[in-house]
Amino acid sequence: MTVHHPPDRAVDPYDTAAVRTALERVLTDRAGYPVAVTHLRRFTVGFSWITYGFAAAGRALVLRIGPANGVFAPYRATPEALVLRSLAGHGIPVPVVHLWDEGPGPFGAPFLVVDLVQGQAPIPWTADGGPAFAEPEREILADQFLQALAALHEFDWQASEAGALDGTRDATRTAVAQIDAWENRMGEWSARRFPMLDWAIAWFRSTAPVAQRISLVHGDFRIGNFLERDGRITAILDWELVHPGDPMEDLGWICLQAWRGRSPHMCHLLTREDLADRYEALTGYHVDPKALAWWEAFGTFKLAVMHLGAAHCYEARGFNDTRMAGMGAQIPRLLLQLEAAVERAS
Amino acid sequence: MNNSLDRLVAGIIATLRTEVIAHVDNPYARGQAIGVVDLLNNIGAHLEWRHAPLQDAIARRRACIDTVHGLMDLPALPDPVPPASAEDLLAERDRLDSIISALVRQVFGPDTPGPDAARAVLRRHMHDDAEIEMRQVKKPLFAEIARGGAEKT
Repeated sequence: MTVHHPPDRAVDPYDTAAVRTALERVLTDRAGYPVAVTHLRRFTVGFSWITYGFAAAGRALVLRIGPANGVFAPYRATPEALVLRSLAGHGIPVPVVHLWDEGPGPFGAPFLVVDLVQGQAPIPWTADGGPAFAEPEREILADQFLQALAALHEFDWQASEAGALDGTRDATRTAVAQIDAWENRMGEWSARRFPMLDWAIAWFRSTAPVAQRISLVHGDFRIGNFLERDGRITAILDWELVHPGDPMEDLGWICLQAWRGRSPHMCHLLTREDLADRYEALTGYHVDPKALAWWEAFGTFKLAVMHLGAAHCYEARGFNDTRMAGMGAQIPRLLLQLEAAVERAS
Repeated sequence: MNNSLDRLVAGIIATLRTEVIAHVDNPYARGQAIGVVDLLNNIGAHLEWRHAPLQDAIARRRACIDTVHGLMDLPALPDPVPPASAEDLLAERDRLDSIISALVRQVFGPDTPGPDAARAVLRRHMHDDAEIEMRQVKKPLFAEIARGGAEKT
């Protein structure tokens, strides 16, 4: 359910005390009786939305605020909320969404309130570049990771609220639509041109694949964006890039070098061959190695553009998270990874 | 780096003040952190990016453009104006990158692809430039940042 507040009541989403007051007001308005917020704390995970954990009315909850100066600003809460509501009970572990608002509203920005799901988010970066998971935990998580992805791609999204999402439904245009979208973001986020990125764009445009089908695409499905507890994936998170598209886009993204380092396992979970074979077994759709390599290369381009976005929100939008500047410093690494990925896909 | 030095110094000061010092309980450690802010306030005005790597980057770009222009019968670049500051050097590097990007779009584009030799020069330049830049990039500390502390070994 959406809530509406006049913008003149907006608070700084980084000010925990002010957020508590605004949150109590929102929840009280929604419930129709006074609701107290306790255990409010800001989470350090996540590079994009500002995330708080809190308790209210006997529930452990999460507040996510899309800051006006964040890397993907302007944010929208509705696509993620509709997708989370639609996917509940369909084989993809997702948090229950309770309310959302497109803003500016009480936080001066879009927000969602969802259930807190127990678990830790494993990350792709390990101390020594070694494996992120011990055996047999890796195998067990890989199974659940792929089952959730297959369930997402098999989900009848057009018959659900998620059918209202923006984006092309044309299988011949979906790759080009993604090139357009990320090229636009590149131009928006960096006045400096990077010839390697322009070279990649020229190659993407001349080789864009046609999708076998259009499904819901998560857009950032990888290690780091799921919660795990006792060897079980408890939630798939971070749906802000969800859109209708070619399911190969998610598979290619899983294969990025950035999510595996030197590990032979994509996202530290499974080999490229296993990924394709098991996905085919789960969905009945063939994984064309050329299309997979194309989407891996495109994903590497997209990640490089995200790094430009991180540098831009630090430089020009006052987003003062040092990780953003740190990402900006890594752009040469991404350019070399992009070059290698395009060469492999050519 | 892809951020300006001024913004990085201002950002480091802001992070120390709002995210770090406010949460440091030990008075001596807090005083030292404030001392870092004091130092940054004072040295910030004296800093600029080193000129030598920027001059090298500009020379690489000019060499690439001159070669490709020669291969494609395009006019040579005018002689460079000696830059006075790091800001001038950055602006010149970015201007030359824009020229190379335009050449890349032209010779790798679908309509009028350029000669193989020009494509090879551009590919070599882009690769070598990224390799040279990469030598200045340290391994990211994202694992430590995510865990909020140094890795235990």
